[in-house]
Amino acid sequence: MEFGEESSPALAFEKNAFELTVEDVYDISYVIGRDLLKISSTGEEVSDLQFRIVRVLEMFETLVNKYNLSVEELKMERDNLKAELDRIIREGSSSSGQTGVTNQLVVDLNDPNRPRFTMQELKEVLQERNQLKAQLMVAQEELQLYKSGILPQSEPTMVDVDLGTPPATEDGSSTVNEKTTIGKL
Amino acid sequence: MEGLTLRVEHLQNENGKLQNLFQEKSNINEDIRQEVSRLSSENSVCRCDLHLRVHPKQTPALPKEYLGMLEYKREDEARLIQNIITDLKPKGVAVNVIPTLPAFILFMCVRHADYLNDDNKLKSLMNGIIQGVKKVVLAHQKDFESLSFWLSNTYQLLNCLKQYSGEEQFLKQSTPRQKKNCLQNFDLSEHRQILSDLAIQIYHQLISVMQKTLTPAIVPGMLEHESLQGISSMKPTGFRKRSSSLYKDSETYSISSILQELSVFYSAMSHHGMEQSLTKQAVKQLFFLIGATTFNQIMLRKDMCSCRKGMQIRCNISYLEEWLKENELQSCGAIDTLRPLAQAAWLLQVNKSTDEDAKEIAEKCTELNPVQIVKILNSYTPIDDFEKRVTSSFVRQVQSFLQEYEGATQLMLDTDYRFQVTFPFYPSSTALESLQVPSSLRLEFLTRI
Repeated sequence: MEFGEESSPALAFEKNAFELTVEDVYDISYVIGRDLLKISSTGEEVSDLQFRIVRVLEMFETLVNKYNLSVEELKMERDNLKAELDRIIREGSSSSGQTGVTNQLVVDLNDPNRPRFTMQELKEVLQERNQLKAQLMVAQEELQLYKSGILPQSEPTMVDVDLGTPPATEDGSSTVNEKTTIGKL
Repeated sequence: MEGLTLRVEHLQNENGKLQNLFQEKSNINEDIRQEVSRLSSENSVCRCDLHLRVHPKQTPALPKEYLGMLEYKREDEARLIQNIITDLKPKGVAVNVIPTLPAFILFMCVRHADYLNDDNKLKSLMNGIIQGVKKVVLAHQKDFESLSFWLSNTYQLLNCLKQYSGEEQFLKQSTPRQKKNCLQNFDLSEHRQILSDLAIQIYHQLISVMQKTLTPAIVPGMLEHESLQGISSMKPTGFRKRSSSLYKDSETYSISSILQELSVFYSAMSHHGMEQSLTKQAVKQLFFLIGATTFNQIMLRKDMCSCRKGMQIRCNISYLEEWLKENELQSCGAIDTLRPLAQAAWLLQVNKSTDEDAKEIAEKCTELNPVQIVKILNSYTPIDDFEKRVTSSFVRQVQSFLQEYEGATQLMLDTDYRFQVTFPFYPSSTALESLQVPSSLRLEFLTRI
């Protein structure tokens, strides 16, 4: 800072209009008042002008004040609204993971291990398997008997093990045979 | 969500509108500034040309002739006092443009009460004014701005009361119109006296507040701070910003702090339109304080009695002198109050060995009494081993030259001493008829007569 630097009241004139404060308006008033004194020698000629200037400066003060207050209010409102907005967005994103209706299952369609068959289908397949397993066991037994020579090979008695329905023809013999075969085991 | 967006938009619109309005108003302001500079250049033009620039709409008939008075209803008196005195802020648009306007407004009310020949109304008003000012000063007794503002306005009111009193001694510089405006019916010299006493009170309160602010900086700034290492780099700054906080951020107080504070005081008093003579008295009082406080320290502290300190003090005194010149205050007698200090500093620097030296000392130190001179000589501490202490025989020599001294023999100066304050009469050139009452003062109940 050197001598002769401009005094701070006059600096208010250099400011951007939207950055003015009420204090600046007062500084401006002071400088203008001083300048007016310089041009008036008897105090009469510029009196009207002087008071018009005072009037304009009063309006200016009111506007600057109102403007600054409004800016502050708007800023606060804007910040409040922003905060509310953020809050709502956050709430919205967290609610999309919940089940809307209970007792439902969410299945990822890309999962290779996803369930694909109904209970009914599963039951039928299991029954069929059990049947086939039983038939296999019987067939394996018979094979064993033939291999060990217990049963003659010329007359392979085709015993049709149909656990479901009994054979229609030659009831007695086949039944005896059946029984015998099974009995001998 | 949608409602919120709408609201924000609406607010933004309002904001935009306000900004536009604002821009308009600051444009008007710019026009006014140009008008003012145009007027000031026009003023130098010959007056007879002026009628050529008259707006064609202006009719030859004169605008309404005002008498320069303000009418108010008796029941509004309390409100008047409150709005123009008690609640008035020393900083505002109206008072920044015309700082002594309150005084003029009050006087115009006084004029009207006198004009009505209503002595009750007038008495009540005068008392109301005096009480009001007392109250506001009491409420702000530590506030430098308020005190300065009201001192200025009280002094102005005093001057108005004198100028328009009708007394011969005060009429010499009045215009014919102003002479016509003098008080018609009442003699207010008693009230003037009361007002004058009040003004003296305010002045002393103001001085006290200024002294309190300045005192912590005096000894550090004048004596302790060593600025002589690099004189150019330490050249003190003059006018700084108008805050009243002392320069405390990095180092302790320096002479710059003192000068800065003086500038703050001086500029505030000017802003408030204080009459120069009063401002000068205040500055003189402050300079006395600086000088006396510093001097007393030298009396008390041996470590301050060196050649180097003497040089430092003389340097600081020259800075103070320069400050006075910058602010056109050379004629206020302030520098004379520093003479004891200046001579003490000279005494510290000068040779103190031969008889001629002793004689010179006795002759030059007119502001110092023998007790003080001897004290300084005895306290003198040489700065290095080459320098010798002052011999007691030398001291006796000096004393012998001072035998005929017949003044006071106090060692210390009285820092509380106050010069008597005077309020010389200063007429104002203001034409009361041309004064208006700005609306921001909230005095709508006054009628301009």
